[in-house]
Amino acid sequence: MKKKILLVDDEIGFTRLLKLNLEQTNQYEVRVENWPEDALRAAQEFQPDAILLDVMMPRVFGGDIAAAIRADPKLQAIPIIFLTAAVRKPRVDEHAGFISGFPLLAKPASTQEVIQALESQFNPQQPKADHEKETNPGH
Amino acid sequence: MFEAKTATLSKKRVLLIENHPAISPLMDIILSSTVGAQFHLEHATDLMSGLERLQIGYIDLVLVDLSLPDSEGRETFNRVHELVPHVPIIVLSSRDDEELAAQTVQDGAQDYLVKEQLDPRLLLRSMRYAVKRKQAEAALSQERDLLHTLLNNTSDRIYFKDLKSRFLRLNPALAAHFKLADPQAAIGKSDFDFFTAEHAQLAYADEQRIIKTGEPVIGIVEKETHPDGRVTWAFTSKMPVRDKQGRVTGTFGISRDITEIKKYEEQLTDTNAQLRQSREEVLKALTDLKAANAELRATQFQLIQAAKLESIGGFAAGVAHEVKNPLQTILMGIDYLSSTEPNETETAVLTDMRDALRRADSIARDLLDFSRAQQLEVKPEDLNAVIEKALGLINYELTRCRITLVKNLAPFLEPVRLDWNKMQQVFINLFMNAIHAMRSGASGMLEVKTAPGYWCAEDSSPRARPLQFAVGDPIVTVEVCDNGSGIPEANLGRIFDPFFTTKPSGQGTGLGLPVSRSIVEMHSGTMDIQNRAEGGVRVQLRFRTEPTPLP
Repeated sequence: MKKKILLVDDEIGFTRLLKLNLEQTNQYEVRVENWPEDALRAAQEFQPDAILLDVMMPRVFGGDIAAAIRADPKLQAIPIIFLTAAVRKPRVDEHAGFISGFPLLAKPASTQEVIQALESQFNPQQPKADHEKETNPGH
Repeated sequence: MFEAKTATLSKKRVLLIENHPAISPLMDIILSSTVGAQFHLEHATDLMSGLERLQIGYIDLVLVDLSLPDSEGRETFNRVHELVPHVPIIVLSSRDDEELAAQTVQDGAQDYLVKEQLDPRLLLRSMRYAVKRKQAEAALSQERDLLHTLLNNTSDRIYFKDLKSRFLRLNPALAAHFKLADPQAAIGKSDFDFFTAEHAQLAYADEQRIIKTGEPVIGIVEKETHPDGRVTWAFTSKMPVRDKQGRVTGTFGISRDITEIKKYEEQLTDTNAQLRQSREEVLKALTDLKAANAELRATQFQLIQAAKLESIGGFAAGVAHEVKNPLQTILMGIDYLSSTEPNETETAVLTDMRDALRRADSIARDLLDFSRAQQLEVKPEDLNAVIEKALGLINYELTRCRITLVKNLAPFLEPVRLDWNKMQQVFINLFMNAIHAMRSGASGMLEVKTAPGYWCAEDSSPRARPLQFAVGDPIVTVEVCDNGSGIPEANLGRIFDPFFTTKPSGQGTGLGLPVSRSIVEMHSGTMDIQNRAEGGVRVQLRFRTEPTPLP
């Protein structure tokens, strides 16, 4: 059964292409929401298995949307993955891919990286395949 | 009573006091016949009338007989002498009282003559000598009076000493200096009785030298130390005293008390010294002011650099964010096209696009680093280990460009508190700069040194004096040297300007050095870059070390 993914980002081109890339794997059903104000309602309607959420969007901060979803009893179990252009990749790795308890993907992220991030949520026993690439062992 | 003879003003007046009528005409004859031009004779027959005449004056010589009707013997002479002490007296006596007459000479008579043996020539000579001798005596006594007046009244101290430097005579001023009421009390004593040995010894040596050589000592300044602790100063001249044969018989000296003058002189010296000190203080203040000014200029330079970086930092974060979003869309597009089974040409195009995208992404990443350089996670680390790790990461580049690596890492460095990742970024940046500079050269050599030491002010370049260190701080110095093309003089001032780069497009953002230095300075370190005299560039980094806690 396909996993339902809610993609919240104001970049229309990006959301269209990511939806294309994910759906052509036949593993995912993606719903796009380009209006951050409608993100919570979209989640309530769609009941996704995971949410890809942009952090820096016009008018609404991605963190507030995440907080609203966590506050909804019917949605609070849904994994949220942040996408952001304001953080460089090694810095995400330094935090083991998490910020404030949420996994984080730095833009630009390849389709493969997005899929890995999603899969690590669905199968937590085998997390983050090659996140050690740019970090220093022991530090 | 008085027999006045014809006389001229030039004639000496002689008063003859005697009661023997026989002698007077004789004398008159003698006088008028031989030296009438010189003497004019008056006659009194008893003492009282003689004294009365003398009180009137104008008598140049007295001839007095000791035996008069109203007086007898020495008494007669004494009464005349008392009345006119300055008039020469010749005593006339009979053979009977010759002994008595001889005594009057001791009392002050010029001569005595025995009437029975009176010889005209003898009388004449005696009279002449008596007048002359009395004149000489008067002149002498006048001179002596002047000398006494001088000695007794001058405030200068005057003394005469014998060959053994004992006082023969001293004036009241010197006696007062010795706190003696009577100058006589010092006669026979020496300086050793009145001064401490310190001064007496010197004075004695001076005087003995004068006696030996006959050379005077003129105008010396003497420090006189008294037994009661007083110190006085004197301006002194000392000379030899000679007898008629020219032999030195002693010394005499004259001293003026200059203690007061000396006091003013010392005050003047003090004042001068104070003035000199004030001047030095002013000069020092000026030097300090100049140094402070130079320091301010250096600080101002650093502040301007910092302000540039900061304003660009905020801007850079915004640009990076705005660039990354479109990059994300492009990447998704490339991913999509890659999944549609492209032919060989399309695959090559997509690979080129992916490369271009990564380049754009790395620029945006540098911009973000630059804006985020403020956040550090520091721990005590081994700087050598950071360098080794960074060298490991660029090892491939070194080999590819056939660059020799010379490592001189000091063992047992004290730890430095640093952010491992940020510092590694700094070193990779410096190493890559060096490699780029040596790419065209034949035998490239990268040298990396670490050395512990202590901060001293000479280490600082004048352009950017580090305010991070105090003299004596324990530091470690890292040197990264290459023998590449060096930095053109014109560019030296701009190498820390953000976005300034000489690298071909796509190879550098111009942020490497500004970011590196900003990171180093956030570690309270310094970065200096100079061209080496032998060619190439030397980068010096300095960090404060942390002493290892004792076990």
